Amino acid sequence: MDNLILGFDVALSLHNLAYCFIGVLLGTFIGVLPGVGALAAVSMLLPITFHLDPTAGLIMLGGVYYGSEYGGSTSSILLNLPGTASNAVTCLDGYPMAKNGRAGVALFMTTVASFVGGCIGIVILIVLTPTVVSFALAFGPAEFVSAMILGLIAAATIGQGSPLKGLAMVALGMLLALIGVDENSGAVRYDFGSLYLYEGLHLVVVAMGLFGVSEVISSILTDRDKNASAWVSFRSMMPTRKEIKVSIMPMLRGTAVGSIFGPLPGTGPTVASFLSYALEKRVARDPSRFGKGAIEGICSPEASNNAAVQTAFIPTLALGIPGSATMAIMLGALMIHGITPGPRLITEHSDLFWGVVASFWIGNLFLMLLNIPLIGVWVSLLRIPYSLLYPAILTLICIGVYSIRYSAFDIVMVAALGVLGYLMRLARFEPAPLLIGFILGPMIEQNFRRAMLIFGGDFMPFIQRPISGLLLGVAVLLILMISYSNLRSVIRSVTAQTRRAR
Amino acid sequence: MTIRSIHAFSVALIASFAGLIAGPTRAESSLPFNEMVIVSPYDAGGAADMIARKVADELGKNLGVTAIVENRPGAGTIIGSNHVAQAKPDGSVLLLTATNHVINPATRKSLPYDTIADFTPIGLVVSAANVLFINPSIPANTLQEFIALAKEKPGTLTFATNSVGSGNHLSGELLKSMAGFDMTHVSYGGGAQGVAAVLGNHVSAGFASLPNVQSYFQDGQLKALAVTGSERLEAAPEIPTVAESGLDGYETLSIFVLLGPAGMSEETEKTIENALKEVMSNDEIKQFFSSQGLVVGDLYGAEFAQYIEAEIKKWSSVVENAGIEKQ
Repeated sequence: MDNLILGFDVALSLHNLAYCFIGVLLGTFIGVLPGVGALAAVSMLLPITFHLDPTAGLIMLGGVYYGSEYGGSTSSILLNLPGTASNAVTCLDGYPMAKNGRAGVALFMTTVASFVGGCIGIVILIVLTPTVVSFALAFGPAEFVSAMILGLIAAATIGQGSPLKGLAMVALGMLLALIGVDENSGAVRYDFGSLYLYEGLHLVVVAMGLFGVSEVISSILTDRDKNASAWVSFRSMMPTRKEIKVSIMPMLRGTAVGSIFGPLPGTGPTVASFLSYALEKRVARDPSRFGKGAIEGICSPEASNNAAVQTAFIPTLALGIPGSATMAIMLGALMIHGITPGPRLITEHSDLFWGVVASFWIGNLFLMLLNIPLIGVWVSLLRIPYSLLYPAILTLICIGVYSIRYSAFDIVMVAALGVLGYLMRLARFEPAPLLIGFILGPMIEQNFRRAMLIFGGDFMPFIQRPISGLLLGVAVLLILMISYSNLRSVIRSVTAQTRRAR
Repeated sequence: MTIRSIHAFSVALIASFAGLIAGPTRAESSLPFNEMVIVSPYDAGGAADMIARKVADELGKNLGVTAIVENRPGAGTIIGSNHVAQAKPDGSVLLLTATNHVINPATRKSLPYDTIADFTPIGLVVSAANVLFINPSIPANTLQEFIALAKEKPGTLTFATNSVGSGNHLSGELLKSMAGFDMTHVSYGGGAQGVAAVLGNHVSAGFASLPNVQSYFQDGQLKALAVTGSERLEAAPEIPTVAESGLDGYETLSIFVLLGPAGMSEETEKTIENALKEVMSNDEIKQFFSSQGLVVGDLYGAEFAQYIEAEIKKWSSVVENAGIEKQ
């Protein structure tokens, strides 16, 4: 408790409050702009933190990072274009809600969900850091493989169309992820002799191509009717009592999923948001509502990615393990001031650690207060003719993609993937399972091969190790459940057909 | 928000970023340009990037130019290095790269540039010895005991590093071939992830720079066996070197070097070299680097050029002995 008081003392200084506000404000905008994500913004801001004290620097970069998760859902809902990769899944139900004239409600509820997820994530960061650290350390290659297999099976049902097409997309995602240098052997695969493919395709390139560019292409051909209700009153943003009631549990479940996957290096908010969506669809009484504007389908992933970005600070600060490229930059901002993150950080730099943690709360409050009045502004964006809006969006995507690694080649790739995404739409293949395969595929491969090296080729540890065994058990149960319900519906339709035939 | 204000916003955003990166205008320059780009072929945020930023900042001040860091990561530093190899050799584009640069000729089938002929060596900025550490559950307290254990139970020990063909991986391979024991390499994609794997007892051993693991030694969560350099570390004099532990002649270092494109005039090279010398002899700068476990290099000109050639030779013989296939 003393620590928290110390933390608020640090975070509430005018200086730090100002940097927190700048961070979250910038984060929100960066999040809203499709294609430009926290990674680009944080790396552009890094040189400034050089001249700031480390606490203020980390407060600002952190603000950009979690702020972008708030803003990212806005363009997912209004334009069917994800602001960042971790908001891609919010398109699935957010955009249909906007088409049904519920854009205001969707934006309001995602802000609330983000706040709930973020705040609970911070509580976990404060209370459970030692527990989470030992949990994260207990996660070896075998546990990763089992968790990712479970995730993949859960996510295979994420789309709406035929499960077979979903599986095909997961496989295509895995294949795309094979491009580039192989982590385990150093061999380069499918690079066609190009140095630009050496490091493989970047997640942002794939996400923005499939979700962003392809949406722009398909809007050229289909003359979309403009949304009528461009003006949003505070009242029209208010969800109905029923909507609030059905959103509470999804938010909490999303937060739980986000808090588990946030601290695991490599998974982060994107995996968390996809899996919490898959979980909601699985526990829902009527899964067919998903993809048509189910409010659970936006609340859960938005709570999840915000919980994940907050808990992702646990391994970063307490172990010095950055879970993502964005986190690595934040570590860099500390290292440049001669501070090495690790177990000693909390005791040796307690004002920094607690000050930053306290600023997260203040930042989340700022974001809530900032985002609700902005909803009206965002919705009025829809009044802009698409002939002006979409070229601007394409430009932003190009800027965002280029800024990741200053590679013009990536712009060509995002365009190519946009065309692929458009063709997939025509053939009714969904991009969401592809993205999941793209993220989880290499994680499974790398960890499986690590496990094989460590266990000397023995498969038994996957079952014998308690966490891994448990996860695999749940995966098997899930397969049985899915096959049972599929089998039942097949039998039902067959009997119905035979009855009709008579 | 209208489309115009979106445009205005993005223009303002970019302009403000550009302004912030450029920083204040500096004193009159002794070089024929006002802006210097130091290319870091690594992602933003890592050790190499941090060093590049510190050097850019100080070098810029000293030379009276605005020096900025440009991250051009990719293809194991080859993309960034190639960019500099093809740049105009007037000193306005420099490369701050690391150990990968001298390992790449050994591990890659082909490079788009010649590692020696296409660059002008300026100086060894900093270097660092690494520490070999193990999980405390491994029944060994010294490097000799560890090697004896590995020989006694072949196939049971593993070591984690950031990637295949990295300096740390090859440090392990050199150790194995010099002492004649077996230990399986496991690549973790990042140095910190490798340390975590040893902390969690998934892997037996690892290599890392001292600041990243020192607190774990003090808490007893990891056990230090040996230092890869030829001398003990100032910050941890209790850890013996590998050479002391019976493997005479063993030395591997992580190095961070400043290079320019080939064909720089001697005058330009000397101007930058002297500026670097001046910057690096500053006590405050030395202190900054030593807090990160880095030792100021103090190798310039012809001596430095010879050093690079020797490093390239050393790593290529390690790669050959370890039987690592060229990619």
